[in-house]
Amino acid sequence: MTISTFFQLLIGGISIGALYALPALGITLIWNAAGVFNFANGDFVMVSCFLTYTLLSVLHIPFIVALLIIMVFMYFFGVVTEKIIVETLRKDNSIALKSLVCFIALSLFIRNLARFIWGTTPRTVKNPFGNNPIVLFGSVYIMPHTFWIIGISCTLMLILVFLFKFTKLGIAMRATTQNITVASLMGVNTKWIIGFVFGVSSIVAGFAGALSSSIFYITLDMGVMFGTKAFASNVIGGFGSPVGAVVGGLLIGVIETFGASLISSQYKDLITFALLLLFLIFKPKGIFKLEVAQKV
Amino acid sequence: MAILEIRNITKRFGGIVALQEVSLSVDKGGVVAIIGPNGSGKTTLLNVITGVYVPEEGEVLLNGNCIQSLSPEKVCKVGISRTFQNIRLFKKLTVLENVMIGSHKLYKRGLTEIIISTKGFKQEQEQHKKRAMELLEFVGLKGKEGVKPENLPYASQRFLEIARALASEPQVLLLDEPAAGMNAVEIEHLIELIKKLSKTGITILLIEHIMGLVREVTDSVVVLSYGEKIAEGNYEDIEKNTAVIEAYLGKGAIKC
Amino acid sequence: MKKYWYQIKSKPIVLFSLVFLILPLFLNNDYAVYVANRGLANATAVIGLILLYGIAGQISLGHVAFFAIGAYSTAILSATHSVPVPIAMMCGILISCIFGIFLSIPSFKLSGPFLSICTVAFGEVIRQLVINMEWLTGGPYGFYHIPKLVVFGYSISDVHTWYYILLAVAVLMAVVGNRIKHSHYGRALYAINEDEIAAEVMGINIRRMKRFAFICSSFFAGLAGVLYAHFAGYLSQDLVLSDNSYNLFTMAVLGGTDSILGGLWTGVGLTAAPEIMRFLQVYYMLILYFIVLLVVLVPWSKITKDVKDIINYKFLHKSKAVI
Repeated sequence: MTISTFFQLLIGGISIGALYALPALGITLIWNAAGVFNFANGDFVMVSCFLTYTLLSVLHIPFIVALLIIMVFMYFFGVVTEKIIVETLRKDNSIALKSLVCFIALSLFIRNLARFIWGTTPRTVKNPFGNNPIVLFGSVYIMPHTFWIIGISCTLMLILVFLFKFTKLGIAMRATTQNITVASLMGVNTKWIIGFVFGVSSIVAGFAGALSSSIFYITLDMGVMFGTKAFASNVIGGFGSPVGAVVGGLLIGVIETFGASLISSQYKDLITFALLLLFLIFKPKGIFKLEVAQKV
Repeated sequence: MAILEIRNITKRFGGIVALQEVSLSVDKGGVVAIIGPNGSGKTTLLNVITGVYVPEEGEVLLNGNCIQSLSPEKVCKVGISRTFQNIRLFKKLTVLENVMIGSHKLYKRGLTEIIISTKGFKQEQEQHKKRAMELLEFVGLKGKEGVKPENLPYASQRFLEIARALASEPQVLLLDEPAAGMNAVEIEHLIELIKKLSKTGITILLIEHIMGLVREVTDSVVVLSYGEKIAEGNYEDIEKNTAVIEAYLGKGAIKC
Repeated sequence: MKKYWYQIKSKPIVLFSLVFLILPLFLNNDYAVYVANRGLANATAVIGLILLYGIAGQISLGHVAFFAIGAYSTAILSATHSVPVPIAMMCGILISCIFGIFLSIPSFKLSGPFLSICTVAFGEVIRQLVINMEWLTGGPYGFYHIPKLVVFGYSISDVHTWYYILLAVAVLMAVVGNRIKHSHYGRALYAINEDEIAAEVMGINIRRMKRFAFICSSFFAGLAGVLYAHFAGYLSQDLVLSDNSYNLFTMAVLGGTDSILGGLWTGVGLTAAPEIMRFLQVYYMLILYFIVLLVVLVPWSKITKDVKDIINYKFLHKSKAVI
């Protein structure tokens, strides 16, 4: 393998990895804030992909405007989901199990809704970033969308970091995550915050979808692929850790890209799922290990 | 003759030393109380005994055999049973079924007999059911068999936990704050229950904060503070012990 | 046989048996009976899932993998290697159980969403293997010419004969499932579902019980699978779709989660429903999952209690009970 191929694969892998890292981050946000696992997250990405298709290819709306529309839509989508499922189950004893069942049902509902609206034909979106490869150095050619994906994802993550660390809202969010009772006693509107977190998580998933639409075939089954790979990112990086989600995602993206090129693109998915299984069996706490202590 | 011996148990959680070289010994048939301010390591000690935590140093001996590295399931099998400070009853099962779960280790009939539903299997089920009913009557919950635990008053739930712990016919019974949340009448009932139990030969180790109860039922008292044993003896001596008073009330308390 | 009939005392199962004994008289074409057969096979598989999920609380979303492992194992053994069908069937169930033991291992350390995605990944790995190992499974081209089951020289190929066999198996397995549920094994599984630490302190060997639950689930699904292989006669890779796992899971949830009889009804019902509701097309799936959400989210016990209170108080003028 030449150096240039190596770099091409590496950067390509990071780009794909970013697309997995974003929904993984969304899962982490919701898990930390509400203690539920959004099984339908992958399907949120799928919906966003189809939405991008409609906005770009059917209505010919410019990409930036489409992104804004998607952000607003996904925000409300997330908040509504939270209201219906999480609010209703808040006081329930077996919230973990029941919410999981609900999110599974939601995932299938969304998939069938998408099938109803858009049909089963795979869609494509014309790449909004152009098709002219950019020369990085030497004979390393990178497609523009790779840069854009990495760039937009990074910007989004930085915004989130800024939001969490330096704004009053972010502190309120973190307080809600760590101790919801005390946070509400301190005057934080925890109900609204959890809805907000869901909304943010959906926006992040929406970005992943919008960006993915430029490089993947848009199918109804994308959700499963994204959902499982996002979860794999979480597991490998350490469930519950935002940094872990990102690192895990990038790792999976890179391994997948190299694996597809070196072994076979047919077995690409198998590699990821096998990796996930192995991690779950042998190293469930992931790289950035998180101890979850149980009080006896 | 000591049935349960705890030797130099040290338990750490990262940098925190929850138990520091704690030793105590319980005679067969005795009733010993472990008291101490909150956070002194009492429940941790119980968790070490029952195998939920593995101590960094020290041994726990039951009838002379080391048990500190056994899993909780094996600890139950060798004859130690417990109740929980924060009531861990099985909400999906009825009161009767909760007690029947307690005797899980005593069931001998296997899967084949369950599937074919042999006479032997049915007899065993009846036997366990009968015993569970007897235990419920013993703790004063007769008539409540079909109720779900969450519909019982708080004190009754604590008695149910005791019945469940007794179902496995333990040699040693560990009670973690059994009187918490009980009113005076219920505590009287609990005192009677513990005395009745002690007469049957079972050894009891209990954690408690309510000194009236401790005074009535125990043979000896062990006091823990910040993970260390600071006093041991019978109740009257402990009551007057300066170190104990300091641990509970602080240094200036001895003046009056 | 007599022993079993005396012991099947519980009324719900008798109702089920009677309804389904008479049903073929109302089904006027073979395809309908074939669908019923599939439904009964699914119902058998769902029993295993109910024991695993409804009672032991382990969410398994790759259940169809066991069904497929059973089906493909018996198919490959009896067709490619000419193993006598009954032996191939037993091997199929055995192989499915071995995979069940394998899947139980992650359950020792994982729970909740972790375990559920693990089962999804397991299902996916099996699916990828079925699709890619064409030389073994026929891959996208399907696996044909599975030999028929021959009992006492009589080759069972008539769809109606299979119906009664599958019905008998489903009812029998439901009885077995109920016996397990009401035994100390069942209580132990409920305990583990709720509070593993308390269960362990009560003397329950968590690993052993979880392994048992997984073996149960893979046994029932494997049994359903081997029967399916021999009554369908061919296997296609559509069998291993994750959608089927979700269907089985939905059947378990809608049947009342821990009710084995409920699982039987929804098992057959939800297999037949898409066929009956063809006119609804895509709406059917939407309505189905909407119903699942309703079933889980709406506080039914509270509503029935409130309705009872209203009827008693407002209409029958019974005085409110003093608490």
